[in-house]
Amino acid sequence: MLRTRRRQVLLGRLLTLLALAAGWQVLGSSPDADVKAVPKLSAVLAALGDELGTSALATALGETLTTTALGLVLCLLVGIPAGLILAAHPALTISSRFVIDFCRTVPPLAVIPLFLLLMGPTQRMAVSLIIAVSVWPILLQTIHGVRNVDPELLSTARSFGLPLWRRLLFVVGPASMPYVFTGIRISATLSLLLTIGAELIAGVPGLGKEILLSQSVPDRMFALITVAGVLGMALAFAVTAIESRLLAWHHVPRAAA
Amino acid sequence: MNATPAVQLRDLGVTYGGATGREVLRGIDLSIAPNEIVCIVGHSGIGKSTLIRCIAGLQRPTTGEVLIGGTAITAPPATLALVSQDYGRTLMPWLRVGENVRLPLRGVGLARAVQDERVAEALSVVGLVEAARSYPWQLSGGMQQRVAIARALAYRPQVLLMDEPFASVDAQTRAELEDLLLTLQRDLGITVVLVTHDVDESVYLSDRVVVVGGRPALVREIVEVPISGVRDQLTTKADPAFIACRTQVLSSIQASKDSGSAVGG
Repeated sequence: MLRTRRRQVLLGRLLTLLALAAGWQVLGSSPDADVKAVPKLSAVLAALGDELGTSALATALGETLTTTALGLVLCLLVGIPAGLILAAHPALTISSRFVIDFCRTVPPLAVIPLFLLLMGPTQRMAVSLIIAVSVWPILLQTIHGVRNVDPELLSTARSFGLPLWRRLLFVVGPASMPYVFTGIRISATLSLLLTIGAELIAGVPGLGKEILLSQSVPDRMFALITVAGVLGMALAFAVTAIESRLLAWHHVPRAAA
Repeated sequence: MNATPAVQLRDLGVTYGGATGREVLRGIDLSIAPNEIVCIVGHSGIGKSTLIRCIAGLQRPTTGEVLIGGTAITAPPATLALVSQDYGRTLMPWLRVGENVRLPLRGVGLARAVQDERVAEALSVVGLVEAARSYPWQLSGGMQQRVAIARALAYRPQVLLMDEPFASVDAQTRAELEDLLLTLQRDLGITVVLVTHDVDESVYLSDRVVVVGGRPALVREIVEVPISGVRDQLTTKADPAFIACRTQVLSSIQASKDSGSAVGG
């Protein structure tokens, strides 16, 4: 029953994909001058095939992934401890709140010129940009998570004489994980966006720069954009997969209730 | 029997919100001997939970002091374990039952094998060996409360504090858990301080029943329960001594309510 249902869903999605592909192909074949810039799907796929054979794509992909991953990991290393400290006392949370709100609402791409000026079109610049922008969701969610830990859990841990660092590691940490992961999900998407943005606008080596360089070769440009899209989807899926594995205890009881 | 009381409260008082705030407890003096089982009864919202949080070292009293094993405490003492009413909120939902029971044993210098042994022993005492690999939310309310009790037992406390531990389980489970507690207390020789609003439960479980009442709450009366030997749900509750105690506790609670309103908060 369930398997049949799953098969139907899969079939539906496959048909949607095929319809879209057919639409693209038709659009690309159109003689209309306005859509001349759109290459046929078959040409894009051919270009993608060519790219897969070269090392240029692999290098660019590697650079983009490294920058994104480096930035995200540093966001975690900065955001989670900072969130723990700011959540330690209501006064700290309240007095830091407006600064965080200001920083996180600055449009991310607007600060690229500033970072470019300071550091040039380097990976270091892209990573710094990611930290400056994507650290806020993680920081904010950590504060929320820690402040929302059930006081009964903490009382229990204290009554058994668990020292502070053990309470942080074994109670506060896991209990705030569902909140922190929401932050990680947002930050991961934001990090990739910033990486591609820095590459595209500032010329940091990576997938975005390759897209910029192939502007005069539409087939190749569309192929690279497709790769960027797949990358974004893979990243989102990966984060969700890790989350549902680590937080099964959080999701299952809610699903059952 | 040891001359030092297991738990001693000296002139304990709690006022919330500073000197002009709401006084909840006043001048509580109480001495509990080792191996004794004492229930504290009173109306809901009278400050019973505040009292047990003070004994547990989770809250500093405004006046007076708490002595555990003869020493005044300022933080939760190592010889004490607490089981509270909201069992669902005291078990870590991300840990399996066995790991929940193990949690307090980690980091106190016990070898892993010893921890395993204690966890297995505690779970078998409460009849939950099969549930060791389950998550708390996969168990019924009564089973979760048994896990909380097992966790306290595995810790091997000298003093077990229980705050309305059976309030949110059904009557049948409640009776089973009461008997389990009596058996464990007898076998392990621990001191138990239990807070409840249920008069029958307090008389059934206790060597002495402490009635608190009024605003602020004071110790109104301490009722000795002269029932010796093994208790059981049917015969003990039909025992004339039980019924006499029950009446005495009930009237004391009612009297405390009247005098409480006379004081006028």
